Order: sequence, then structure tokens, then C-alpha cells
Amino acid sequence: MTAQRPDEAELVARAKLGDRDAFSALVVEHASAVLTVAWRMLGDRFAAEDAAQETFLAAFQSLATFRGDARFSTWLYRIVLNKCRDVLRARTSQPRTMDDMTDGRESVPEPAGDLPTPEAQLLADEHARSVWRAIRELPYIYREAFVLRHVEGMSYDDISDVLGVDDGALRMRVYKARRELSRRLAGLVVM
Amino acid sequence: MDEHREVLIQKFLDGELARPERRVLLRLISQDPAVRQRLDADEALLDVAANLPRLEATPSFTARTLARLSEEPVPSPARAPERDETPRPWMRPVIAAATAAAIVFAVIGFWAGRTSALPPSAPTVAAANPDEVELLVRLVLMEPGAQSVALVGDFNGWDPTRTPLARRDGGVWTATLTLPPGRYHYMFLIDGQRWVSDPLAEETSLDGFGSRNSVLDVGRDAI
Repeated sequence: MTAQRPDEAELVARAKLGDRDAFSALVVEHASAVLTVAWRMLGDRFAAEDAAQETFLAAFQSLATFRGDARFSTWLYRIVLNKCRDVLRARTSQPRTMDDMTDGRESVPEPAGDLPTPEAQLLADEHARSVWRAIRELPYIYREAFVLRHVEGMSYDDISDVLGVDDGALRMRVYKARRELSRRLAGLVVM
Repeated sequence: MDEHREVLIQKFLDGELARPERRVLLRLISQDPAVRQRLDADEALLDVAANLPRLEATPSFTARTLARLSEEPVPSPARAPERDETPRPWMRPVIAAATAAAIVFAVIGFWAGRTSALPPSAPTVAAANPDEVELLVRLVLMEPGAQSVALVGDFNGWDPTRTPLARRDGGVWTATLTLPPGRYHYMFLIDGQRWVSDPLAEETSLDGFGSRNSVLDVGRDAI
């Protein structure tokens, strides 16, 4: 497990003692990363902002229990993914499943929908748009594993910490996500 | 595609191919156009995924978040809320031998030195003001092979340097501390690396990483 950067460790230590300014600095440092992960999970900026805000509030309230044996960002990812899971569960009670994708955990669905305008502009590239939509249609547990591995570029070790699954189960999720995306995008993604 | 070929492809996509495996995969690619097509498509997919746009936090979002935070009371370090976000590594092996040893330890008569059930003989420190009452609590762990054991919990800010346990005869480690009444979450840290729940804890709490903290309930009824 990689330790926090020294300056961040100091900010965390100060924040744990009640220094609001220190925690504010942590929010500024990690706001975009947390927001981006929420956006990738939820699919729209507004829901992502709500989830990211709730994440920082929860982190602030739980800061005393952060032991510092993981990166602060890893801890935040864990919280924001839980928040996103709650949001998606609340959105619908109609689970979407992939016939060949079950590993003992319930997948959490999300409704289909167009991208918000600013994000549609960002995703002007047709291939990127196709990949984005295919990722969003993955069941949640495969989506989060794929996003953390191949969109956020995290190591399997760090993802294991974030998701609370062992290495073998995580690799299987990533593998299934890759295969499903490959199947869905056959003929669309070209070199 | 056969299983071995699939394993090679997945390792390739993860950048984990060993040199001999790379040679095998290259041979497969040269012999089978379908393998090349598959790798090309998967690499293209992952390349697009890795370059998807990010969402930058706007100054407005950051300001709103900080404003909401400013309305939140500063939580007490010793009374952190019990939520499933509580950060913990997802897996901290509890050594079965240590557990068994600790149970034996309890059976042979040292239970009076345990934690959450304050022993009748445990000294208490009563202040003039009942709100200032603190209790002496003794925590015990049987860990003969350890070089160091630290008590880490919300009462010491999860700081592994603040509450080391002292080694006693027979591989028993103990720590005595004073705490005001309340509920506390804690674990032991062995040799600075291995997190272990208290095998004798009467209560545990779920965390967000798939393991459990020990819970110490220092109740006023124990005074």
C-alpha cells in the first residue's frame, strides 16, 4: 500500500484535529477526481456533483476513522462509489442484467439517457461516445471495475482496496467487462 | 479461442506478459489473423477508454461544497460516526492461532483484564464532575511472535505510534488507558503491518472494506 504524499498526510492530520482549512484544501485537491468518478458511474454532471458533495461531507464526518494506511484518494473513491451505488439503487428497481455476468452480487442498473450538453461536447468523437455509452450500460460492479482499471488507470492492488474484493474476483470482473465491451463494440471501434 | 490463448491476451492487455509468454503470443498472432484482429480491437477499445474526457470541478461546485462543509459541526475524533464508509483495508487476516491463544488466555483466568467488560477489580477514576469520569481500560492480546503491537482506534486518532502495547511473559501484550464513557472502534497493528481485530471483542462493526473493527463500549453503567 502506498502511503500518502507528505503534504497530504499533513493536511489529513490537521483536518483530523478539526482544522477546516486543511480539509478544504483536500476538497480542492480531490474535487475533480471524485467528481469524474461519480460522473463515469452516474452518467450526468448534476447527479455526479450531488454524489461528490455527499462524499466530501461523509469524509469530513468520518475523518477520525481514516487511519492513513491507504491513500486519501483511495478512501474517497471508496466513499464516492458507495454513494453512486446508493443513487443508482434509488433510481430504479428494475435491474438490468447481463446473461453471462453473474458473480454473486446484484448489479445496480441505471436508466439510459442522453449525455448532458457539456459532456456531449466533450465527447464529440464518435468512437469515444460509443465506448462511453457501452461502459455506462455495464452492470455496476463491472462498470466500476473497468472504469477504475482502464479509465482511471489504477492498479489492481489499489482497486482491490477501493472495492473490497480480492484480486481474483476483481480480475474476473475486469475481464468480463472487457469481453462484454468488446462484444458490444465489435465493428465500431477501429484503429 | 482456447483458454491458454485467452489468458495470454488478458495478460497482454494488462501489461503483465512475461517475456516467454510474449514470444508465444507473437507466434499466435503470426499464425492466426483472428488473434491479431482481437488484440487490435481490444487495444483500441482500451485506448479510447483511457482517453475519455475528465470532468473538472468548477469553482462554483467547489465553493458550494465548501459552503456546505462550513455548516457541518466538527466531529469529535473520539466519536466518529459509524458509517459504512469507515475506511479500512479490505482484508486484514486474523491469525487463527492468535485467536485460539487469546481464547485460552481468557479461559485460564485473565478475563478480568479484558476490555469492554470492565472487571470489578479494575480501578476507576471518578472525578467530582460526573461528566469528567474516565475509566481505566485494559486491552490484552496474545501474540507471541510479534515484535511490536500497537493499539489503534478512534480514541487515538488511528495513530499507530500513540498507544504501544507492552510485552508480558508468554507473548501476552497489554495496554492500559483511560477513556471517558463512550463507544470506541479499534484494532491491533502487529509489527507495523498486520491489522488484527481483537479476538476477544464482544462486539464488532462493519466497515466499508469488508472487514470489521472491534468495538469497545465503555458504558457509564460500568462505573
